[in-house]
Amino acid sequence: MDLYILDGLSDGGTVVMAQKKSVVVSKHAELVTLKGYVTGFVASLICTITAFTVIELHVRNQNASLSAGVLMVGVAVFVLVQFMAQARYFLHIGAETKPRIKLLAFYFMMLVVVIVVFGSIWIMQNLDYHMHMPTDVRAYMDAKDSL
Amino acid sequence: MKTNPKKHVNHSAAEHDADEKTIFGFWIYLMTDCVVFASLFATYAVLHRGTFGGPTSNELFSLPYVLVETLLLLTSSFVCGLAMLAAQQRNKPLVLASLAVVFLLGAGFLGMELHEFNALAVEGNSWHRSGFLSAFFTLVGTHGLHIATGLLWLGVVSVQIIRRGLTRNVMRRLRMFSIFWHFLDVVWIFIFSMVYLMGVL
Repeated sequence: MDLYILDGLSDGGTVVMAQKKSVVVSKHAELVTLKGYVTGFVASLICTITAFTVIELHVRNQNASLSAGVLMVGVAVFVLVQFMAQARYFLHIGAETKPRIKLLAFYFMMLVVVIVVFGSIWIMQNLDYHMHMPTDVRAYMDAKDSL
Repeated sequence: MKTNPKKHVNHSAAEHDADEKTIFGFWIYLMTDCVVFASLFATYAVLHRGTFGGPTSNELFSLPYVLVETLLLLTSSFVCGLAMLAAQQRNKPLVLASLAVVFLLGAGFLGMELHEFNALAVEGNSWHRSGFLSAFFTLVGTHGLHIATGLLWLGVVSVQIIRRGLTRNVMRRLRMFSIFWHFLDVVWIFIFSMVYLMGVL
């Protein structure tokens, strides 16, 4: 707001506004094009097929060299890359003009989602341990971690 | 203070602003829908190992089958984007053709999912079997219900395009449908990765 007024005072309001608008519009146009959709589609295809191939090969030859933990991190990385590609090129997040209320709502949703998912898992895991006799908890945790 | 850049608004600009507000409201709905899916994901993560002596996830899931489902929905989402580009260029036949492809791919996805559900239920692995299967059917079934709603919406919008053409109201509905459809594909990639790919490890 302050910056906006300063810009308007120093350079003449309408001119600055017009320039700013054209910049933002061209950014939006860059995303809502055939090229944008194709980029998102190809990136999603690569992520999906790579993650699938790695896991399917691991399942078929059970003696695979990578551990399940490493593979889970790998799948998580691919899903996040694909999520960002689709959010940018299909849902056009970040392409709106200021004020970016949609983006703000999106960030708030992400915060709530992270709290709900990780909070639930954390609390339920804790309750799971507390359902056991205090003397057995250590053995139970070790057995579960080895899974 | 600040001079209003829209002092001399014409009628169409005001209409444009009204449409943007409606689409923003729909966006807020989608954000709350994300929270619904997040709570179902959390439930699934908690109940994942609660099989009650029944089958575990790595005994039930067939990855190649689910990959085909994923590719159908991903292609459907992409073609939906192409339909929006055609709508921007006012190319009515191309819009309708693209939307028909979107519908067929979406219906194919839903048919494959129902077939998978039916096969599980016939083998006695329905949502009654265990906490894991209850959570699985709730999460994947809720997504399937959204897809079914989307197909109904797509049918209605297509009929409106045929009857009324690409008017302002129809364009607004089409834009909201495309956001909805892309959103459902984003949710599905998380189901594909977190439920199916991680489930067989």
